[in-house]
Amino acid sequence: VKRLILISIYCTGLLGCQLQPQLSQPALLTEQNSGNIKKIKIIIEQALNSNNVFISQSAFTQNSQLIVQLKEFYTVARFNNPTFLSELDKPDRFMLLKDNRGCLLRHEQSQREWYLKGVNCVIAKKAEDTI
Amino acid sequence: MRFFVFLMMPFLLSACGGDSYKSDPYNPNTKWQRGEFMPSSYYANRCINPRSGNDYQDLVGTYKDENNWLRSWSHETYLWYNELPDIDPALVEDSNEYFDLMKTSSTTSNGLPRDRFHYAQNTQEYNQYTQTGISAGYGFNFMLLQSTPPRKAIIIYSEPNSPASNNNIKRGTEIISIDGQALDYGNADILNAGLMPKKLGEYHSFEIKDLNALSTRTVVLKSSEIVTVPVHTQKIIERADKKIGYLAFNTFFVASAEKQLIDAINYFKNNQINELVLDLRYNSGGYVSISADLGTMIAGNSALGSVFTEIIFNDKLSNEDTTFRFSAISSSNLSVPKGTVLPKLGLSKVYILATENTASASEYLINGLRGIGVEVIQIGTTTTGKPFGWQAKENCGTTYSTIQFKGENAKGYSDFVYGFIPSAVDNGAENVRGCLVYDDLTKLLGDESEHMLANALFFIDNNECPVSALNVNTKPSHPLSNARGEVISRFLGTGLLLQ
Repeated sequence: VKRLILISIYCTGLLGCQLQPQLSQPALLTEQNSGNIKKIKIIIEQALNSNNVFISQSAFTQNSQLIVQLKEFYTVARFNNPTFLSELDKPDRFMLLKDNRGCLLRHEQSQREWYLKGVNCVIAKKAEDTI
Repeated sequence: MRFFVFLMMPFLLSACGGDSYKSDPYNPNTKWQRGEFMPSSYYANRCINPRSGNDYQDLVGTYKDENNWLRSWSHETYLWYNELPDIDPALVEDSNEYFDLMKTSSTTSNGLPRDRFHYAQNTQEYNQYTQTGISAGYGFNFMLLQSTPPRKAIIIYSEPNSPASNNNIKRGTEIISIDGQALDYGNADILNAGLMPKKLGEYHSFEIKDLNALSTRTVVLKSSEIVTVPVHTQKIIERADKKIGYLAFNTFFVASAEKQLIDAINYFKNNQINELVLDLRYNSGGYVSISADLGTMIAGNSALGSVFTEIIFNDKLSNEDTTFRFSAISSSNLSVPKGTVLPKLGLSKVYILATENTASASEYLINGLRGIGVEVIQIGTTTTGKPFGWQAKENCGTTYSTIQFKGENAKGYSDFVYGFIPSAVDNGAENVRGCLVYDDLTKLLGDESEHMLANALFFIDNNECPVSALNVNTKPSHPLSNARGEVISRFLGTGLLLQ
């Protein structure tokens, strides 16, 4: 019994750290909606430790993957020089998925996941919708 | 039962990713000793102004701690770390100033500074992200012929289906005023606010003068989502006995570039072109992996397996060295599935249109192709000169960029620090055979009479540059036919564009 309790506690602990979606599949948002995008934007900003992420109002309506990268920008101090990005930086990828609990967003690099409350999505039908 | 839970808690917490306890070797009283370096991790996140909140690991520190971190980190990662001055961190009270000192003072063979890419940026400003290929703005890209009064800005191209193209704003159009402020001498704050709207849905009034128009017109543009289209123009130019592919390709920075390039090369391949003119005049670079894929598509099967670019760090970080090769399949996985077979043209020569705005991954393409013996004919002006790169690092609210690697081609060449120069003779180094020609804003990209393309076509026909007719030394028929300036595109966000 003690062993069962220990195993049970251990599994509960692990599940508490990371959601384990069952049979999650690439998904698309069912409607273009600023409320949905706002929720997604907040999660992405949290994931990237940024307070400024610009995403399209049509994100995740045509494909399940969203690629996010650092902006190119100009600085006051180096007026005439664009700030070059590192050519080796890998862009951050987010995937919209659906499982039996609902729609969720997965950050591919960290494998962290967030369920999207109040957001409706459907499983992507075609393979090309996933890239 | 409670006892078991209590017993398991540390284990459960560690399963959540919590760091195990390590002894802290930090000693704030450590004195600077020339040539002795503690690991940068000793000083990381010890800040004179620590940030609060769960997102930060900042601890209370001093400017000396921040300088010590810079000193150690530079010594660990800077490409030329053995050329760094060793300066007592206690002597410089401003960490940005200290960082400025942490670079080489060595020069190129021309006596110019070797390191031109060394800068610090507020982390919050730096950490601005965007969905790849999407920006907020009007969709025009322009060239600043003069950024200080009397300022002058000319449209170089507009993105399709954007407010700019919907208002018929084309290449060669001059911006006369914004929201009532004349561009040449008007209020810079108002001008910048109009050029760089902070959010979607802002309306700004632009007085513009179309190319060759006698009068101006005013358009009201609404800031909108703009989709960057990397492949601007692809066309086939038929000559007497040749089919010439022309491809205006403006950025390696967005994911869709990969698929659009594959589609364009397939189009050229299906039409059996004999020559390729690749227009990179506005291409400031981006993902090296896409550049390597384009290299393969140009050079073809004979290049497969060869080095495209070898990314080389300093000898302490040699395990970070990375080799990009000419590969038969796409390796980027950005807009086509990984493993997609690349179409190949199999050319032994390519004509590249380039300017001072051509940089980074675009230069790697020139260098990579030359490295395996593909002849590059460069038409235009000298490129930016950025064979280097880095992985920016944040400490105490500032993000630092310092040169950490160089990109060598298969011949071991990477010294194009001040760009590739169109020259009479290819010297195997920075001089590339080609013609010196300025940008011609009086013609659309892909127009056979546009000076840079016309020079390339002349070269294809005659294997030399035109003597005078299209030469940079000839008095231009129109002031915009010999244009030079800084290209501004996908720029919206922060900063002062106009001064």
